Amino acid sequence: MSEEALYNKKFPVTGGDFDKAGEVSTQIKKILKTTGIDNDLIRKVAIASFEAEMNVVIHAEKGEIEFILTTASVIINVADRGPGIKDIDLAMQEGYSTASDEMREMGFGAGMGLPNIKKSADDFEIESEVGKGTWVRITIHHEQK
Amino acid sequence: MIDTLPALKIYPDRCKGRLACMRVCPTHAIRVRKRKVSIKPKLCIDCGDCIVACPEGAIQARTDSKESLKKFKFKVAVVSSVLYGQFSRSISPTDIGEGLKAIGFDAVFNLSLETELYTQALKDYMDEYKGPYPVISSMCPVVIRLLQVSYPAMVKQIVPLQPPRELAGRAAKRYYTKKLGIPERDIGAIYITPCPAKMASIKSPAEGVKSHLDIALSIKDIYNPLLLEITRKKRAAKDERLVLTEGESRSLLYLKFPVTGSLANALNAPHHIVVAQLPNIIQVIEDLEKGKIKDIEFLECHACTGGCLGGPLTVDDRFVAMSKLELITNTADEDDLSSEELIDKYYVKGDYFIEQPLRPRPIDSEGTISIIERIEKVKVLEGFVNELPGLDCGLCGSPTCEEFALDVARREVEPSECVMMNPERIKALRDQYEIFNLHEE
Repeated sequence: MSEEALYNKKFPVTGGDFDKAGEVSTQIKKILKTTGIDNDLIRKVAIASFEAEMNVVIHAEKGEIEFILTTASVIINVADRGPGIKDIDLAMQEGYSTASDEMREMGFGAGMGLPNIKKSADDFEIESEVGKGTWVRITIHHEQK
Repeated sequence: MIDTLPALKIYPDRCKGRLACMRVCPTHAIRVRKRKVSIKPKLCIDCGDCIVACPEGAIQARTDSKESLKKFKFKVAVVSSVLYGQFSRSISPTDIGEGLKAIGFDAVFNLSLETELYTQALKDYMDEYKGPYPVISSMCPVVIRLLQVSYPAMVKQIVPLQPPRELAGRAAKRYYTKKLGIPERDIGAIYITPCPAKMASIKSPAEGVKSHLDIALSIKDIYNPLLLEITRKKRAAKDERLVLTEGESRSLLYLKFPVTGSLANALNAPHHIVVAQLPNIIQVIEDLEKGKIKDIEFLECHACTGGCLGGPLTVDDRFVAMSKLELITNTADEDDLSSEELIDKYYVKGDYFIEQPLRPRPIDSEGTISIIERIEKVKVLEGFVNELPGLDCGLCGSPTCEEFALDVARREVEPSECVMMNPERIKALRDQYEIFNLHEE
Protein backbone atom coordinates (compact mmCIF):
# COMPACT_ATOMS: atom_id res chain seq x y z
CA MET A 1 0.00 0.00 0.00
CA SER A 2 1.43 3.35 -0.95
CA GLU A 3 1.67 5.92 1.79
CA GLU A 4 -1.06 8.50 1.65
CA ALA A 5 -1.39 11.53 3.90
CA LEU A 6 -4.69 11.51 5.78
CA TYR A 7 -4.38 14.39 8.16
CA ASN A 8 -1.96 17.05 9.17
CA LYS A 9 -1.93 19.86 11.64
CA LYS A 10 0.67 22.40 12.77
CA PHE A 11 1.08 23.63 16.33
CA PRO A 12 3.24 26.56 17.44
CA VAL A 13 5.45 26.11 20.52
CA THR A 14 6.88 29.00 22.55
CA GLY A 15 10.33 28.61 24.11
CA GLY A 16 10.36 29.03 27.88
CA ASP A 17 6.60 28.73 28.23
CA PHE A 18 6.44 26.01 30.86
CA ASP A 19 2.83 26.84 31.63
CA LYS A 20 1.69 25.45 28.31
CA ALA A 21 4.44 22.87 27.88
CA GLY A 22 2.96 19.51 26.97
CA GLU A 23 -0.25 20.84 25.46
CA VAL A 24 0.70 20.05 21.89
CA SER A 25 1.40 16.41 22.69
CA THR A 26 -1.90 16.26 24.60
CA GLN A 27 -3.73 17.52 21.51
CA ILE A 28 -1.96 15.09 19.22
CA LYS A 29 -2.83 12.26 21.58
CA LYS A 30 -6.45 13.35 21.64
CA ILE A 31 -6.71 13.37 17.85
CA LEU A 32 -5.16 9.91 17.68
CA LYS A 33 -7.55 8.61 20.33
CA THR A 34 -10.52 9.84 18.29
CA THR A 35 -9.23 7.90 15.30
CA GLY A 36 -9.26 4.70 17.33
CA ILE A 37 -5.67 3.87 16.44
CA ASP A 38 -3.77 1.17 18.37
CA ASN A 39 -3.04 2.24 21.95
CA ASP A 40 0.61 1.23 22.00
CA LEU A 41 1.18 3.43 18.96
CA ILE A 42 -0.58 6.33 20.67
CA ARG A 43 1.64 5.90 23.70
CA LYS A 44 4.83 5.97 21.63
CA VAL A 45 3.66 9.05 19.76
CA ALA A 46 2.67 10.72 23.04
CA ILE A 47 6.10 10.12 24.59
CA ALA A 48 8.04 11.15 21.48
CA SER A 49 6.00 14.27 20.82
CA PHE A 50 6.12 15.31 24.47
CA GLU A 51 9.90 15.02 24.65
CA ALA A 52 10.26 16.89 21.36
CA GLU A 53 7.93 19.61 22.58
CA MET A 54 9.86 19.91 25.85
CA ASN A 55 13.13 20.25 23.96
CA VAL A 56 11.72 23.27 22.16
CA VAL A 57 10.38 24.76 25.40
CA ILE A 58 13.64 24.18 27.29
CA HIS A 59 16.19 25.13 24.65
CA ALA A 60 14.68 27.15 21.83
CA GLU A 61 13.13 30.57 21.25
CA LYS A 62 10.19 29.20 19.37
CA GLY A 63 9.26 26.32 17.18
CA GLU A 64 6.59 24.45 15.34
CA ILE A 65 5.39 20.88 15.60
CA GLU A 66 3.75 19.33 12.59
CA PHE A 67 1.68 16.23 13.08
CA ILE A 68 1.07 14.10 10.01
CA LEU A 69 -0.99 10.95 9.92
CA THR A 70 -0.61 8.75 6.88
CA THR A 71 -1.98 5.35 5.98
CA ALA A 72 1.35 3.84 7.04
CA SER A 73 2.61 5.93 9.92
CA VAL A 74 2.53 8.92 12.23
CA ILE A 75 5.12 11.57 11.47
CA ILE A 76 6.10 14.34 13.87
CA ASN A 77 8.16 17.16 12.36
CA VAL A 78 9.71 19.58 14.82
CA ALA A 79 11.50 22.72 13.70
CA ASP A 80 12.80 25.33 16.09
CA ARG A 81 14.68 28.59 16.07
CA GLY A 82 17.28 28.50 18.78
CA PRO A 83 20.88 27.74 19.70
CA GLY A 84 21.11 24.50 17.72
CA ILE A 85 23.15 21.47 18.73
CA LYS A 86 26.94 21.52 18.45
CA ASP A 87 27.59 17.81 18.61
CA ILE A 88 24.56 15.69 17.70
CA ASP A 89 26.23 12.35 18.55
CA LEU A 90 26.96 13.64 22.04
CA ALA A 91 23.42 14.99 22.40
CA MET A 92 22.03 11.57 21.55
CA GLN A 93 23.83 9.98 24.52
CA GLU A 94 21.74 9.24 27.57
CA GLY A 95 22.39 11.68 30.38
CA TYR A 96 24.05 14.33 28.23
CA SER A 97 22.37 17.70 28.56
CA THR A 98 23.13 21.33 27.89
CA ALA A 99 20.18 22.61 29.91
CA SER A 100 21.02 25.58 32.13
CA ASP A 101 21.38 25.20 35.90
CA GLU A 102 18.10 27.03 36.25
CA MET A 103 16.35 24.47 34.06
CA ARG A 104 17.94 21.62 35.97
CA GLU A 105 16.69 23.07 39.23
CA MET A 106 13.21 22.89 37.76
CA GLY A 107 13.73 19.21 37.08
CA PHE A 108 14.45 19.41 33.37
CA GLY A 109 17.52 18.52 31.39
CA ALA A 110 18.09 14.96 32.56
CA GLY A 111 19.59 14.30 29.14
CA MET A 112 16.97 11.73 28.27
CA GLY A 113 14.91 13.74 25.78
CA LEU A 114 16.51 12.79 22.48
CA PRO A 115 17.34 9.21 23.55
CA ASN A 116 13.71 8.73 24.63
CA ILE A 117 12.45 10.04 21.30
CA LYS A 118 14.76 7.69 19.43
CA LYS A 119 13.61 4.74 21.55
CA SER A 120 9.95 5.42 20.76
CA ALA A 121 10.49 6.06 17.06
CA ASP A 122 10.84 3.66 14.14
CA ASP A 123 12.72 6.29 12.16
CA PHE A 124 14.46 9.28 13.59
CA GLU A 125 16.23 12.05 11.72
CA ILE A 126 17.89 15.10 13.21
CA GLU A 127 19.68 18.06 11.71
CA SER A 128 20.94 21.16 13.41
CA GLU A 129 22.81 24.36 12.72
CA VAL A 130 24.49 26.16 15.61
CA GLY A 131 22.96 29.57 16.14
CA LYS A 132 19.99 28.84 13.92
CA GLY A 133 17.97 25.92 15.12
CA THR A 134 17.20 22.22 15.06
CA TRP A 135 15.00 20.07 12.85
CA VAL A 136 13.73 16.66 13.91
CA ARG A 137 11.61 14.13 12.05
CA ILE A 138 10.06 11.27 14.01
CA THR A 139 8.28 8.42 12.24
CA ILE A 140 6.28 5.72 13.99
CA HIS A 141 4.65 3.00 11.86
CA HIS A 142 1.12 1.70 12.40
CA GLU A 143 1.74 -2.02 12.30
CA GLN A 144 4.65 -3.37 14.29
CA LYS A 145 4.27 -6.91 12.95
CA MET B 1 -39.68 3.37 34.59
CA ILE B 2 -36.18 2.60 35.80
CA ASP B 3 -33.01 2.33 33.73
CA THR B 4 -30.29 0.19 35.26
CA LEU B 5 -26.54 0.28 34.87
CA PRO B 6 -24.06 -1.97 36.71
CA ALA B 7 -23.81 0.50 39.61
CA LEU B 8 -26.78 2.79 39.16
CA LYS B 9 -30.54 2.96 38.96
CA ILE B 10 -31.94 5.89 37.04
CA TYR B 11 -35.46 7.24 37.60
CA PRO B 12 -36.08 9.50 34.59
CA ASP B 13 -39.52 10.40 35.99
CA ARG B 14 -37.92 12.13 38.96
CA CYS B 15 -35.47 14.06 36.78
CA LYS B 16 -36.14 17.77 36.38
CA GLY B 17 -33.30 18.36 33.98
CA ARG B 18 -31.16 20.54 36.23
CA LEU B 19 -27.93 19.28 34.58
CA ALA B 20 -26.15 18.92 37.95
CA CYS B 21 -25.22 15.28 37.25
CA MET B 22 -24.07 16.05 33.73
CA ARG B 23 -21.74 18.76 35.00
CA VAL B 24 -20.01 16.56 37.58
CA CYS B 25 -19.64 13.40 35.50
CA PRO B 26 -15.87 12.94 35.04
CA THR B 27 -16.17 10.81 31.92
CA HIS B 28 -18.88 12.87 30.18
CA ALA B 29 -21.23 9.88 30.20
CA ILE B 30 -24.42 11.82 30.99
CA ARG B 31 -26.83 13.52 28.59
CA VAL B 32 -29.98 15.44 29.48
CA ARG B 33 -32.38 15.58 26.55
CA LYS B 34 -35.86 17.02 26.89
CA ARG B 35 -35.30 17.42 30.64
CA LYS B 36 -34.59 13.73 31.11
CA VAL B 37 -31.32 12.19 32.16
CA SER B 38 -29.68 9.27 30.39
CA ILE B 39 -26.29 7.68 30.92
CA LYS B 40 -24.10 6.04 28.28
CA PRO B 41 -23.31 2.67 29.87
CA LYS B 42 -19.98 2.21 28.10
CA LEU B 43 -18.64 5.50 29.45
CA CYS B 44 -19.92 5.16 33.02
CA ILE B 45 -17.17 4.11 35.46
CA ASP B 46 -19.48 3.68 38.48
CA CYS B 47 -18.04 6.54 40.55
CA GLY B 48 -21.40 7.71 41.87
CA ASP B 49 -20.63 11.44 41.66
CA CYS B 50 -24.00 11.89 39.92
CA ILE B 51 -25.85 10.27 42.84
CA VAL B 52 -24.48 12.89 45.19
CA ALA B 53 -25.04 15.74 42.73
CA CYS B 54 -28.71 15.08 41.94
CA PRO B 55 -31.05 17.15 44.14
CA GLU B 56 -34.04 15.06 43.01
CA GLY B 57 -32.72 11.60 43.82
CA ALA B 58 -33.22 10.60 40.20
CA ILE B 59 -30.00 8.57 40.23
CA GLN B 60 -29.56 5.96 42.95
CA ALA B 61 -26.96 3.34 43.77
CA ARG B 62 -27.93 -0.11 42.67
CA THR B 63 -27.23 -1.88 45.95
CA ASP B 64 -29.13 -4.88 47.23
CA SER B 65 -31.99 -4.63 49.72
CA LYS B 66 -32.05 -6.18 53.18
CA GLU B 67 -34.68 -8.60 51.92
CA SER B 68 -32.14 -10.21 49.60
CA LEU B 69 -30.34 -11.50 52.72
CA LYS B 70 -33.07 -14.09 53.04
CA LYS B 71 -31.80 -16.18 50.18
CA PHE B 72 -28.78 -17.30 52.18
CA LYS B 73 -28.89 -19.83 55.00
CA PHE B 74 -25.80 -18.40 56.67
CA LYS B 75 -25.15 -14.68 56.29
CA VAL B 76 -21.71 -13.20 56.85
CA ALA B 77 -21.30 -9.43 56.91
CA VAL B 78 -17.97 -8.54 55.30
CA VAL B 79 -17.02 -5.25 56.91
CA SER B 80 -14.35 -2.71 56.06
CA SER B 81 -13.25 -0.27 58.71
CA VAL B 82 -15.08 2.51 56.85
CA LEU B 83 -18.15 1.36 58.77
CA TYR B 84 -16.37 1.94 62.11
CA GLY B 85 -15.89 5.59 61.25
CA GLN B 86 -19.60 6.25 60.78
CA PHE B 87 -20.77 6.13 64.38
CA SER B 88 -20.20 8.29 67.43
CA ARG B 89 -16.99 7.84 69.39
CA SER B 90 -18.70 5.90 72.15
CA ILE B 91 -19.63 3.10 69.73
CA SER B 92 -16.80 0.61 69.30
CA PRO B 93 -16.14 -1.85 66.47
CA THR B 94 -17.31 -4.57 68.88
CA ASP B 95 -20.63 -2.78 69.37
CA ILE B 96 -21.03 -2.51 65.62
CA GLY B 97 -20.34 -6.24 65.20
CA GLU B 98 -23.02 -7.03 67.79
CA GLY B 99 -25.42 -4.67 66.06
CA LEU B 100 -24.89 -6.40 62.71
CA LYS B 101 -25.78 -9.71 64.31
CA ALA B 102 -28.91 -8.16 65.76
CA ILE B 103 -30.12 -6.98 62.37
CA GLY B 104 -29.92 -10.39 60.79
CA PHE B 105 -26.34 -11.43 60.13
CA ASP B 106 -25.06 -14.72 61.50
CA ALA B 107 -21.44 -13.64 61.58
CA VAL B 108 -19.20 -10.64 61.01
CA PHE B 109 -15.95 -10.91 59.12
CA ASN B 110 -13.69 -7.89 58.90
CA LEU B 111 -10.91 -7.34 56.41
CA SER B 112 -8.07 -7.05 58.92
CA LEU B 113 -6.23 -10.26 58.17
CA GLU B 114 -6.78 -9.97 54.41
CA THR B 115 -5.51 -6.40 54.45
CA GLU B 116 -2.25 -7.61 55.99
CA LEU B 117 -1.97 -10.51 53.55
CA TYR B 118 -2.79 -8.31 50.57
CA THR B 119 -0.12 -5.82 51.57
CA GLN B 120 2.46 -8.58 51.96
CA ALA B 121 1.45 -10.02 48.57
CA LEU B 122 1.83 -6.58 47.03
CA LYS B 123 5.29 -6.18 48.55
CA ASP B 124 6.30 -9.54 47.08
CA TYR B 125 4.82 -8.59 43.73
CA MET B 126 6.66 -5.26 43.67
CA ASP B 127 9.94 -7.00 44.56
CA GLU B 128 9.73 -9.25 41.53
CA TYR B 129 8.15 -6.71 39.16
CA LYS B 130 10.27 -5.53 36.26
CA GLY B 131 8.14 -2.72 34.85
CA PRO B 132 6.63 -0.78 33.21
CA TYR B 133 6.16 1.65 36.08
CA PRO B 134 4.25 2.87 37.97
CA VAL B 135 2.35 -0.06 39.40
CA ILE B 136 -1.20 1.20 39.94
CA SER B 137 -3.28 0.27 42.99
CA SER B 138 -6.34 -1.90 42.43
CA MET B 139 -8.31 -1.01 45.54
CA CYS B 140 -10.69 1.40 43.90
CA PRO B 141 -12.88 -0.26 41.24
CA VAL B 142 -13.64 3.14 39.71
CA VAL B 143 -9.98 3.60 38.89
CA ILE B 144 -9.77 0.12 37.34
CA ARG B 145 -12.81 0.88 35.21
CA LEU B 146 -11.40 4.28 34.19
CA LEU B 147 -8.19 2.67 32.97
CA GLN B 148 -10.04 -0.15 31.21
CA VAL B 149 -12.26 2.31 29.40
CA SER B 150 -10.06 5.33 28.71
CA TYR B 151 -6.41 4.28 29.18
CA PRO B 152 -6.28 0.70 27.92
CA ALA B 153 -2.51 0.77 27.46
CA MET B 154 -2.07 1.17 31.24
CA VAL B 155 -4.30 -1.72 32.31
CA LYS B 156 -1.32 -4.07 32.49
CA GLN B 157 0.16 -1.86 35.22
CA ILE B 158 -2.71 -2.42 37.63
CA VAL B 159 -1.83 -4.61 40.65
CA PRO B 160 -3.08 -8.10 39.64
CA LEU B 161 -4.13 -9.00 43.18
CA GLN B 162 -7.60 -9.52 44.54
CA PRO B 163 -8.44 -6.62 46.85
CA PRO B 164 -8.88 -7.35 50.60
CA ARG B 165 -12.70 -7.31 50.33
CA GLU B 166 -12.61 -10.15 47.79
CA LEU B 167 -10.01 -12.08 49.77
CA ALA B 168 -12.18 -11.67 52.86
CA GLY B 169 -15.23 -13.00 51.02
CA ARG B 170 -13.22 -16.04 49.97
CA ALA B 171 -11.76 -16.51 53.46
CA ALA B 172 -15.16 -16.18 55.14
CA LYS B 173 -16.62 -18.89 52.94
CA ARG B 174 -13.67 -21.21 53.47
CA TYR B 175 -13.72 -20.57 57.21
CA TYR B 176 -17.41 -21.21 57.84
CA THR B 177 -17.58 -24.17 55.48
CA LYS B 178 -14.87 -25.80 57.53
CA LYS B 179 -15.97 -24.67 60.96
CA LEU B 180 -19.70 -25.27 60.68
CA GLY B 181 -19.83 -27.81 57.87
CA ILE B 182 -22.16 -25.64 55.80
CA PRO B 183 -21.85 -26.05 52.02
CA GLU B 184 -20.30 -22.99 50.40
CA ARG B 185 -23.40 -22.26 48.29
CA ASP B 186 -25.45 -21.70 51.46
CA ILE B 187 -23.06 -19.07 52.78
CA GLY B 188 -23.78 -15.52 51.70
CA ALA B 189 -20.82 -13.12 51.89
CA ILE B 190 -22.45 -9.72 52.11
CA TYR B 191 -20.27 -6.70 51.64
CA ILE B 192 -21.22 -3.55 53.54
CA THR B 193 -20.30 -1.02 50.90
CA PRO B 194 -19.39 2.66 50.98
CA CYS B 195 -19.86 3.08 47.22
CA PRO B 196 -21.82 1.78 44.24
CA ALA B 197 -18.62 0.87 42.40
CA LYS B 198 -17.82 -1.95 44.81
CA MET B 199 -21.36 -3.18 44.39
CA ALA B 200 -20.84 -3.19 40.62
CA SER B 201 -17.54 -5.01 41.08
CA ILE B 202 -19.50 -7.87 42.67
CA LYS B 203 -22.13 -8.04 39.93
CA SER B 204 -19.69 -7.57 37.06
CA PRO B 205 -16.06 -7.99 38.21
CA ALA B 206 -13.47 -6.11 36.17
CA GLU B 207 -11.67 -9.31 35.19
CA GLY B 208 -14.88 -11.11 34.23
CA VAL B 209 -14.76 -13.91 36.82
CA LYS B 210 -17.17 -14.56 39.66
CA SER B 211 -16.81 -12.44 42.77
CA HIS B 212 -16.29 -14.11 46.14
CA LEU B 213 -18.85 -11.72 47.55
CA ASP B 214 -22.51 -12.34 46.84
CA ILE B 215 -24.37 -9.12 47.42
CA ALA B 216 -23.70 -5.65 48.81
CA LEU B 217 -25.71 -3.54 51.20
CA SER B 218 -25.07 0.16 51.32
CA ILE B 219 -23.81 1.69 54.58
CA LYS B 220 -26.50 4.34 54.17
CA ASP B 221 -29.29 1.76 53.95
CA ILE B 222 -28.32 -0.25 57.02
CA TYR B 223 -27.19 2.68 59.15
CA ASN B 224 -30.47 3.49 60.90
CA PRO B 225 -31.56 -0.05 61.78
CA LEU B 226 -28.00 -0.81 62.84
CA LEU B 227 -27.74 2.25 65.06
CA LEU B 228 -31.06 1.38 66.66
CA GLU B 229 -29.89 -2.12 67.59
CA ILE B 230 -26.53 -0.92 68.82
CA THR B 231 -28.17 1.61 71.10
CA ARG B 232 -30.60 -0.98 72.38
CA LYS B 233 -27.79 -3.46 73.12
CA LYS B 234 -25.63 -0.87 74.78
CA ARG B 235 -28.47 0.02 77.08
CA ALA B 236 -28.65 -3.62 78.13
CA ALA B 237 -24.98 -3.00 79.01
CA LYS B 238 -23.11 -6.24 79.10
CA ASP B 239 -19.45 -5.49 79.12
CA GLU B 240 -18.50 -8.48 77.05
CA ARG B 241 -15.90 -8.37 74.35
CA LEU B 242 -16.97 -9.65 70.98
CA VAL B 243 -15.01 -12.68 69.99
CA LEU B 244 -14.33 -12.36 66.31
CA THR B 245 -13.31 -15.25 64.14
CA GLU B 246 -9.92 -16.74 64.76
CA GLY B 247 -7.06 -14.72 63.39
CA GLU B 248 -9.11 -11.58 63.08
CA SER B 249 -7.44 -8.81 64.90
CA ARG B 250 -8.19 -5.19 64.54
CA SER B 251 -4.82 -4.64 62.97
CA LEU B 252 -3.68 -1.05 62.77
CA LEU B 253 -3.00 -1.35 59.07
CA TYR B 254 -6.55 -2.52 58.48
CA LEU B 255 -8.06 0.35 60.40
CA LYS B 256 -6.12 2.91 58.39
CA PHE B 257 -6.56 1.16 55.07
CA PRO B 258 -9.56 2.99 53.57
CA VAL B 259 -7.78 6.31 54.03
CA THR B 260 -5.79 7.82 51.15
CA GLY B 261 -2.09 7.13 51.38
CA SER B 262 -2.25 4.16 53.73
CA LEU B 263 -1.36 1.60 51.08
CA ALA B 264 1.59 3.53 49.73
CA ASN B 265 2.82 4.10 53.27
CA ALA B 266 2.47 0.45 54.19
CA LEU B 267 4.41 -0.52 51.09
CA ASN B 268 7.17 1.82 52.02
CA ALA B 269 7.78 2.45 48.30
CA PRO B 270 10.39 5.17 47.98
CA HIS B 271 8.80 6.81 44.97
CA HIS B 272 5.06 6.77 45.27
CA ILE B 273 2.28 9.26 44.78
CA VAL B 274 -1.21 9.26 46.22
CA VAL B 275 -3.96 10.83 44.14
CA ALA B 276 -7.62 11.32 44.98
CA GLN B 277 -10.55 12.54 42.87
CA LEU B 278 -11.07 11.66 39.26
CA PRO B 279 -10.06 14.93 37.60
CA ASN B 280 -6.70 14.71 39.42
CA ILE B 281 -6.32 11.04 38.59
CA ILE B 282 -7.05 11.70 34.91
CA GLN B 283 -4.47 14.51 34.87
CA VAL B 284 -1.81 12.28 36.43
CA ILE B 285 -2.54 9.38 34.06
CA GLU B 286 -2.37 11.72 31.06
CA ASP B 287 0.99 13.05 32.27
CA LEU B 288 2.27 9.53 32.88
CA GLU B 289 1.24 8.45 29.39
CA LYS B 290 3.30 11.11 27.72
CA GLY B 291 6.21 10.83 30.12
CA LYS B 292 5.76 14.20 31.81
CA ILE B 293 5.62 12.38 35.14
CA LYS B 294 8.46 9.90 35.43
CA ASP B 295 10.25 7.78 37.99
CA ILE B 296 7.18 6.87 40.03
CA GLU B 297 7.12 3.27 41.23
CA PHE B 298 3.70 3.13 42.79
CA LEU B 299 0.55 5.09 42.16
CA GLU B 300 -2.22 4.88 44.73
CA CYS B 301 -5.50 6.21 43.37
CA HIS B 302 -8.84 6.79 45.05
CA ALA B 303 -11.83 8.19 43.18
CA CYS B 304 -13.11 9.74 46.41
CA THR B 305 -11.41 12.44 48.46
CA GLY B 306 -10.26 10.87 51.71
CA GLY B 307 -10.43 7.43 50.11
CA CYS B 308 -13.32 5.07 50.83
CA LEU B 309 -14.34 7.15 53.84
CA GLY B 310 -15.58 9.66 51.27
CA GLY B 311 -17.68 7.10 49.40
CA PRO B 312 -21.07 8.30 48.16
CA LEU B 313 -22.92 5.74 50.32
CA THR B 314 -21.32 6.69 53.63
CA VAL B 315 -23.18 8.59 56.32
CA ASP B 316 -20.76 10.68 58.32
CA ASP B 317 -18.52 13.43 57.03
CA ARG B 318 -15.32 11.93 55.62
CA PHE B 319 -12.99 14.11 57.69
CA VAL B 320 -14.83 13.41 60.94
CA ALA B 321 -14.81 9.70 60.08
CA MET B 322 -11.07 9.87 59.49
CA SER B 323 -10.48 11.39 62.91
CA LYS B 324 -12.63 8.70 64.52
CA LEU B 325 -10.67 5.91 62.85
CA GLU B 326 -7.50 7.50 64.09
CA LEU B 327 -8.90 7.44 67.60
CA ILE B 328 -9.75 3.75 67.30
CA THR B 329 -6.27 3.07 65.93
CA ASN B 330 -4.61 4.88 68.81
CA THR B 331 -6.59 3.04 71.45
CA ALA B 332 -6.54 -0.42 69.83
CA ASP B 333 -6.11 -3.30 72.26
CA GLU B 334 -2.57 -4.39 72.79
CA ASP B 335 -3.47 -8.05 72.69
CA ASP B 336 -4.35 -7.77 69.02
CA LEU B 337 -1.86 -9.68 66.93
CA SER B 338 0.86 -7.68 65.22
CA SER B 339 1.26 -7.63 61.43
CA GLU B 340 4.34 -9.86 61.51
CA GLU B 341 2.66 -12.56 63.56
CA LEU B 342 -0.40 -12.54 61.33
CA ILE B 343 1.63 -12.78 58.15
CA ASP B 344 3.89 -15.53 59.53
CA LYS B 345 0.89 -17.58 60.46
CA TYR B 346 -1.38 -17.12 57.47
CA TYR B 347 0.53 -15.89 54.43
CA VAL B 348 0.53 -18.24 51.44
CA LYS B 349 2.73 -16.85 48.71
CA GLY B 350 1.02 -16.66 45.33
CA ASP B 351 -2.50 -17.22 46.70
CA TYR B 352 -3.83 -13.71 46.15
CA PHE B 353 -3.66 -13.11 42.43
CA ILE B 354 -6.79 -12.34 40.42
CA GLU B 355 -8.11 -15.38 38.65
CA GLN B 356 -8.04 -13.88 35.15
CA PRO B 357 -5.95 -11.04 33.77
CA LEU B 358 -7.56 -7.61 33.58
CA ARG B 359 -8.34 -6.54 30.04
CA PRO B 360 -9.16 -3.20 28.49
CA ARG B 361 -12.80 -2.41 27.79
CA PRO B 362 -12.50 0.17 25.03
CA ILE B 363 -15.51 2.39 24.39
CA ASP B 364 -15.01 2.38 20.65
CA SER B 365 -17.72 0.43 18.90
CA GLU B 366 -16.79 1.53 15.39
CA GLY B 367 -14.21 -1.21 14.97
CA THR B 368 -15.30 -2.04 11.46
CA ILE B 369 -14.80 1.33 9.81
CA SER B 370 -11.47 2.09 8.18
CA ILE B 371 -8.95 4.59 9.42
CA ILE B 372 -9.65 6.75 6.37
CA GLU B 373 -13.32 7.02 7.31
CA ARG B 374 -12.38 7.80 10.91
CA ILE B 375 -10.09 10.59 9.82
CA GLU B 376 -12.89 12.04 7.71
CA LYS B 377 -15.01 12.04 10.84
CA VAL B 378 -12.28 13.78 12.83
CA LYS B 379 -12.04 16.49 10.17
CA VAL B 380 -15.80 17.06 10.05
CA LEU B 381 -15.80 17.15 13.83
CA GLU B 382 -12.99 19.70 14.06
CA GLY B 383 -14.78 21.92 11.56
CA PHE B 384 -17.98 21.75 13.55
CA VAL B 385 -16.34 22.32 16.96
CA ASN B 386 -14.88 25.55 15.59
CA GLU B 387 -18.38 26.80 14.83
CA LEU B 388 -19.59 26.16 18.38
CA PRO B 389 -19.28 28.86 21.08
CA GLY B 390 -16.99 26.84 23.38
CA LEU B 391 -18.92 27.93 26.47
CA ASP B 392 -19.81 24.40 27.56
CA CYS B 393 -23.14 25.73 28.82
CA GLY B 394 -24.80 22.33 28.61
CA LEU B 395 -28.13 23.65 27.35
CA CYS B 396 -27.94 21.36 24.33
CA GLY B 397 -27.98 18.46 26.78
CA SER B 398 -24.35 17.45 26.20
CA PRO B 399 -21.72 18.33 28.82
CA THR B 400 -19.32 20.25 26.56
CA CYS B 401 -19.31 21.74 23.06
CA GLU B 402 -16.85 19.05 22.03
CA GLU B 403 -19.09 16.26 23.30
CA PHE B 404 -22.01 17.92 21.52
CA ALA B 405 -20.06 17.85 18.26
CA LEU B 406 -19.35 14.15 18.80
CA ASP B 407 -23.03 13.50 19.56
CA VAL B 408 -23.98 15.30 16.33
CA ALA B 409 -21.42 13.23 14.42
CA ARG B 410 -23.00 10.09 15.88
CA ARG B 411 -26.39 11.43 14.78
CA GLU B 412 -27.70 11.30 18.33
CA VAL B 413 -28.75 14.93 18.24
CA GLU B 414 -29.37 17.73 15.75
CA PRO B 415 -26.94 20.66 15.43
CA SER B 416 -29.94 22.96 16.01
CA GLU B 417 -30.01 21.99 19.72
CA CYS B 418 -27.21 24.53 20.33
CA VAL B 419 -28.70 27.77 21.66
CA MET B 420 -25.98 29.85 20.05
CA MET B 421 -26.46 28.33 16.62
CA ASN B 422 -30.23 28.35 16.82
CA PRO B 423 -31.96 31.15 18.81
CA GLU B 424 -35.28 29.27 18.52
CA ARG B 425 -33.82 26.68 20.85
CA ILE B 426 -33.97 29.13 23.77
CA LYS B 427 -37.70 29.48 23.29
CA ALA B 428 -38.16 25.72 23.18
CA LEU B 429 -36.13 25.37 26.37
CA ARG B 430 -38.14 28.08 28.12
CA ASP B 431 -41.31 26.23 27.27
CA GLN B 432 -39.89 22.94 28.45
CA TYR B 433 -38.68 24.33 31.74
CA GLU B 434 -41.77 26.43 32.48
CA ILE B 435 -44.22 23.57 32.10
CA PHE B 436 -42.66 22.07 35.19
CA ASN B 437 -42.07 25.01 37.48
CA LEU B 438 -38.87 24.28 39.35
CA HIS B 439 -39.87 26.15 42.46
CA GLU B 440 -43.40 24.94 42.96
CA GLU B 441 -42.94 21.31 43.80
